[in-house]
Amino acid sequence: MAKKVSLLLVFCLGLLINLTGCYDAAEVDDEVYALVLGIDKGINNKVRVTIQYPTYKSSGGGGGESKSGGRMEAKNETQGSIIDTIEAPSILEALDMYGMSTSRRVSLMHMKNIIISEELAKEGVQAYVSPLARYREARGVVNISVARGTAQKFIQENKSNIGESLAKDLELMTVQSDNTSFFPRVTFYDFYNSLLSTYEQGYTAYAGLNELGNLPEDKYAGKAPLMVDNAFKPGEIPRSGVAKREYAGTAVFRDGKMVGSLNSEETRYFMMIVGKFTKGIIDMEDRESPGKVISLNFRPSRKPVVRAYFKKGRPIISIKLEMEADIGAVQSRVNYEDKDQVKKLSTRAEDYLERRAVQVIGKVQQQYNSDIFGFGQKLAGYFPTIQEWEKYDWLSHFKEAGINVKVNVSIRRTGLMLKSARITGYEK
Amino acid sequence: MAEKNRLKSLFALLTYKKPKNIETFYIPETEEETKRAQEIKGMEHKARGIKKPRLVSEMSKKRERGLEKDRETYRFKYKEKSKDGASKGRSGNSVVDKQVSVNIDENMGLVKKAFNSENNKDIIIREFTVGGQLRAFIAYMDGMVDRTTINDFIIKPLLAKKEYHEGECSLDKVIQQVLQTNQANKITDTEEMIYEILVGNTCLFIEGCNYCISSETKGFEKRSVSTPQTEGVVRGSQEGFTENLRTNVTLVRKIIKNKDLSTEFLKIGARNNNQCAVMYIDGLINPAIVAEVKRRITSLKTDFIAGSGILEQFIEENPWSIIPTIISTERPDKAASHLIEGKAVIIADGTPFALIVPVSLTTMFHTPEDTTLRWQYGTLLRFIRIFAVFIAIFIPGLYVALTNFHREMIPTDLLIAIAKARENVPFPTILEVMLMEVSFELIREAGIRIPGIIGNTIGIIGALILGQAAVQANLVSPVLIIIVAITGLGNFAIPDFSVAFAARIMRLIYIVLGAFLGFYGISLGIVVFTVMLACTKSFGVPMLNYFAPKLRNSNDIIIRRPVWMQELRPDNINPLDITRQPEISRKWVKEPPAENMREDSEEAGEDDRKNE
Repeated sequence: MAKKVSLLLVFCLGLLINLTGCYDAAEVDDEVYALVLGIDKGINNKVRVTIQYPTYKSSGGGGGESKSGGRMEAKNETQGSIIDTIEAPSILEALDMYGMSTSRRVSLMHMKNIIISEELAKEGVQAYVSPLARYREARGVVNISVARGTAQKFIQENKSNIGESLAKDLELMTVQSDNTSFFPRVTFYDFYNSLLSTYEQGYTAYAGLNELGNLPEDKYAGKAPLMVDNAFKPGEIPRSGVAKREYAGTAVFRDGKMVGSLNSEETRYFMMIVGKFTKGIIDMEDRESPGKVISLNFRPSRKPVVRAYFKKGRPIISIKLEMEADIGAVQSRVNYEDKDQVKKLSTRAEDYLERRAVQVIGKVQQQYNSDIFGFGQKLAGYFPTIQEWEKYDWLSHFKEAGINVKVNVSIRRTGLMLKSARITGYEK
Repeated sequence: MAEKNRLKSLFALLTYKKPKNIETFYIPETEEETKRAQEIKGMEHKARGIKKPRLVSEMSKKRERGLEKDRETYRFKYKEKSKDGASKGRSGNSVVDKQVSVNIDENMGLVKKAFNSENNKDIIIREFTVGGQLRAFIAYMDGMVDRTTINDFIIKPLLAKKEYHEGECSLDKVIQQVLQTNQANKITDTEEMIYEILVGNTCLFIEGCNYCISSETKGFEKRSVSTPQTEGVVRGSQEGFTENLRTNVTLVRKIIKNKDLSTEFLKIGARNNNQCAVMYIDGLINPAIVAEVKRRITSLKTDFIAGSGILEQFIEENPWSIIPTIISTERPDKAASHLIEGKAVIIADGTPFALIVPVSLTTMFHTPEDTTLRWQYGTLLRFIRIFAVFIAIFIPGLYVALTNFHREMIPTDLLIAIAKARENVPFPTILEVMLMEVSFELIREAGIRIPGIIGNTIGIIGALILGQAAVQANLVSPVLIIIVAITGLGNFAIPDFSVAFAARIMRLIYIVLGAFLGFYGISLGIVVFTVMLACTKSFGVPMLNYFAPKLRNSNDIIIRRPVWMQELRPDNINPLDITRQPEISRKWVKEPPAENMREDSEEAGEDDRKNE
């Protein structure tokens, strides 16, 4: 009898554990997975939240193109994904409010991107970012970017043009940062940390919509000058194509508010200094035959060496960039592969990079006064306690800092050509 | 009138009619049963452990306890009784005389009675006279003997014998001079004589002798040695055990040509008088293992052991363990390799399988192919197998846990794909998994039982109907088909059939745990199972040995090192000789190549001569 009772008790205990485990179980298709979360300034309420999630229709979609039930002119269902916008007092409440119209629970488990509208970013993002940092489902590794115009419009144009998978499209789009360094790749975790930090200021990727009308027909009457700086802001890249959305440059924050932006070219030098630059082709004008381009494929050979110290109370920061370059193209076909010429070319490249880097630092320092480089980290060591460091308030002293940049370029490879021979009959 | 009759017959269809009293067959109770029924009359429900329904108001704890006791005693009595009955029944037609008599008529009566020759036509008794005077007869089991042997080498020489010496028992002479069979023993004990006849030998009785001669004439139908059905290998021996014990022992002895290889025969099964052989290498195996194996087998009191499968269940240490604690193999080379390691092999007559004891978990994943292949390939095979076990046990459970609790761990694209696939499926994942698992098990079981001629059908049913149609009918998602398929593949890659069974059971447990508690449940399951496994022993050897307890590495546990590096025998079975080969087993690597050696030896020879 006692054995039976104890067996029953054990069984009940087992059931207790098992059945309590069940309560948060849910099927895969009971939820929709918002891949993009857009945050706009609300018009009638505090915030306007846009989410984009893939549909579970068996084909990749496309059928949704013709149907348009959107609030704006843009479509809310494109290529196997649905875009929902809602106005709410807060982001988290918005997620619940979707439940009134969406048949499945909105989950942020698989969120890839957070898009903040520029307008909102300029007003300050703390109020919108901190609930996400606390929310269990939102991951720290979500990429965050600021969109020119509204996030809603940006997301409505966020189509996966190449394949059917929206998730892959979003993931690989941010990975492009590693291939070109035209825009940074900032995770929500890093961004949130920088908001709290006394060492550095935040920055995010800068995105926008391109109306695809930037390819001017004939501005210079067939005699276009050489413009080697690819200084573009999102929406201004001269291109035509399918995707309207584009990422170019960096949104610079100060004290949780966006204060300005770096264009795509400046972003490269910025990323070189913070050590995130992986590779990129930079064109320089050939001094020996103006109007022609030398393309160099740069990549860092070492991590940037940043040394910081105080000189008579003034913070001095010296940066040493070690770069490697491969010759990509020499339009003039001057024999730069030659031993002496290579040295000349690398000195020229050093000058060029140095000049540009100093310009970027100057812009950030003087115009935006925001230490997005994180130099504070190097200086904090001079303060014995954190209180003293906080009292010193580095972020307000950033402007006074003297910053020197030294670039060392060594050209390693010349591609598949050992010698640029003149093309016969050309330039006779 | 006719109309009325018709109405009546119609009416008769609807009304109740007393059935005709048709006598049908039934099995009558035995005397003993009837007697017992008398004894417990009025108390049957107690004896059978059935509680008679009573009013709640009448219930009191005291009476309850009293009843409990009653039932216990009744049960006890029943057990005792049944034991007696079994032992009585076992002896069957009991033979009165214990010894073979001098009188030939008495002996014939004894044989006839013992084998119930009136009804049992299998026993053949052939009478004749030896030397024209002495009466004699041979007795054998028809079908179990080789007739040529009996005709040409027993009867012929006996009938041809002409001289005869009075006064002395002539059987000694018969053994020495007349019988031309390879084995002939004197037997005086009746029980032994009966056994000899039962196993297919021929017993010769001659007037005036108080013993008989048993000649080896076994010659029953048996399957020839063929390739193993369940344990195939690509490279390695292609011989498999058969149902015949003698053949099996020979197959092993053929591989191990060692004088120390001992085979002990033990009788098992009181009613079917089966035989089993315990094989071991004397002087290598730890004697305690042999003693324990023999102790367990000889202690068995049961009526029927058909072969190694039943024997395994009788002698295993932990009947509740999911993982088997005895390896059963169809391959003589596998049995031989374990014998060489210092283990014991038990072969029972009747099934083409040998039992290997003691074993550990790691040995269950070894196959002979690991050793016949070069070590890199063998090691790869082992890793594949271990991976297969993990797949076979965990994949469906992990899938359920992942999709129900840990969706954040699935790559987004895969998650969307799963959701798309599941969109039209009306069942929850756990039901889907169960449905597919059950159908897969059905295919497996049906595939084994299906008659060979219509065997192709199973492929069509399995692949087409369950695979494709189930998906098209939206019963299950295609992802699940992959899960079940890969689980099935993993299961088939497990070399040991019993372990594969264990994996199937554990898979179900992990599916349930995964469905209830997610990864937490699966980790709990792993912990509990590991603890259980750590407590399990196989003939005194912990199943998890080498890991827990930590043991000396024999270089052939998980990673199979080259054979010349396997210097030691496994530590877990404490063999008397722990070294398999010296540190340098390939002496040639230390020697100069053949060409140089000759010159060296010549020089050495010259040196010797000089020294002289």
